[in-house]
Amino acid sequence: MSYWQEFIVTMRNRKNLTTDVIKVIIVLFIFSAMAYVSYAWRGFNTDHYEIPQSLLPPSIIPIDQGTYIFFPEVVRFSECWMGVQVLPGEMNATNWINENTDPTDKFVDDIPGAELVMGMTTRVSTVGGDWANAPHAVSDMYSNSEIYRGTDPQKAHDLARQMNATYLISPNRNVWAGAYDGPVNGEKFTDPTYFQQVYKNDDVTIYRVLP
Amino acid sequence: MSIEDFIRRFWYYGALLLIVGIAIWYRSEILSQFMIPTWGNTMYHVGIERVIVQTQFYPRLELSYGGGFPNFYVPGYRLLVASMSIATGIDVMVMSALIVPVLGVFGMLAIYAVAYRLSGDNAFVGLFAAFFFLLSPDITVNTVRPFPELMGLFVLPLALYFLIREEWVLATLMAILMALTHQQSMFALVAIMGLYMVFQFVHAMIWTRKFKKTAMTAIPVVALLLTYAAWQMMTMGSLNILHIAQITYHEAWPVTISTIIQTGLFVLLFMIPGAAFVFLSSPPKRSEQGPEKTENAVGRAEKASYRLNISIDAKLLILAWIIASVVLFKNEMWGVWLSMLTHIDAFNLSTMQSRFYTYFTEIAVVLAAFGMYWLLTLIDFRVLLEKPE
Repeated sequence: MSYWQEFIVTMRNRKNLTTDVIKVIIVLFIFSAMAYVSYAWRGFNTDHYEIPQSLLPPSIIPIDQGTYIFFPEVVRFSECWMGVQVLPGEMNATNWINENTDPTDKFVDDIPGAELVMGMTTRVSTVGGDWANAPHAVSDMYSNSEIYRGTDPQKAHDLARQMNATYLISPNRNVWAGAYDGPVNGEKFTDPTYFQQVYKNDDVTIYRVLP
Repeated sequence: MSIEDFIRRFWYYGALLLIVGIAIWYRSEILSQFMIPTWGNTMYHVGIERVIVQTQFYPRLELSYGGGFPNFYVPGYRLLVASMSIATGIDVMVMSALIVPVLGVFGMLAIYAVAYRLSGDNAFVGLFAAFFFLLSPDITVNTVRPFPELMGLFVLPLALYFLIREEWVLATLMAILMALTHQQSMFALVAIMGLYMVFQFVHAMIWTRKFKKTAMTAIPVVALLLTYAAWQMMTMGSLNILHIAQITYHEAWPVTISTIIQTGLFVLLFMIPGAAFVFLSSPPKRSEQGPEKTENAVGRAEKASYRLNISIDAKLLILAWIIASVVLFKNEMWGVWLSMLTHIDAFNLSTMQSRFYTYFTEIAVVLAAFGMYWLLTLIDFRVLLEKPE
């Protein structure tokens, strides 16, 4: 190979090498940018953008007004599912339940609270868990909701007894009782004719449902 | 070894390790809370696992909704957590949290494996699929919490990996495992495998007249159905599932634009060209693949021509995966018609659509990987021509 041929091959290889290096840098940048947008980027001026309703024909996919995309995408969409719906005090109360109640005792609680009690004590509650073949899950959800929402202590007591509940848990947070999502109307549980307070901490009070 | 050689030899494994590391890191965040995430009835599963640990038996009766009625939830995931808890002495709730990063990463590696196989053993498509797995909010939402779907999202792609590899025994074992792991994932798997079997049958009828694959695909499908039927009969004494609350009360979560967005912006962006690339590309001709490889020529031939080879089987499986998941997540559409035709109200399913959407997201992630590969071939990204060592 002549000197000039060698020179041309060298230069061509160098050009290829430079082009390849530039491409690698661009590709690395693209991958890093995608990861950054998904896990760390909080938008330009705001971390959420409304999706225009005109983006797709409604006959294909209707877009409701107020549909947003959030950034960082993976973090914002997943963080709410990674949360805990109950309070630390409710977790602490499960020690008391284990030590002071019978395994056959049954609890009135909202769905997240009931599942906490199931998980930590294996005690059964009026709602919570899998409703697939529960014989009267829907009526129990309505009764359960009425217990937390209503103001009448006798009615709350009667509903609890109808569901064979022996204890009632009243957390200091909004409850999701099956058909009611809101604060506990807890005044009625202080009526000593129907309920007896047996445990209390900053986050939760447990009552015995009197016979 | 020079730096250049080191990078050339190990960059691929470094990238894969980084992806695995990010997946573990994000899923390990739940360990920093005072308890596991509660969304998805996670503590209910912990309750059943605790009963198993305490009694050494799978409870026949439910803890849910007043308790005392048959427990027909399949036991696979719960037995896994409970047995690990028994073996290590770690509390079941803590074990549930610890298993999330493990099964989450296993799910990602199963997607890696199935993408690798569908692309004709191309390691880059596998790597891209693992990367897009990280970028999907929908996949993340369902792999950051301790519940049976976490395991279902691992077993489903693994079963399909063995199916496409024609490892019939392992595919059958995975199908049986799925029948005992998560009912919803089981419906997705049986729909995908069943449709793949139909496609194989049609393909054989029209072109090849060879029905072995159709027959062999039927084995895991039948094994799955029989296993679940046996479980259902044992626990409920009936094969009828049309009266369960999810169907009776239409636990409907319709797929909306919000659901679709959660596939992931970049997954959606690359999924469409990826699908076009998969279905429009033809397998490389024999001359492009090079001559039959001899012992000496294997290394050079592989390096010189490390291109995709998307087989007919791969295309049929991808098509089956897409169609089956769309049919499942749009069950409110065909359910109405089926109900009207048969006069059976229960067939008007309209149930859990957006949860079924996750199985579509899995194949969307794989297609996005193909889309990325296509983009990089467009810019003549020559790194892709060389098989990682």
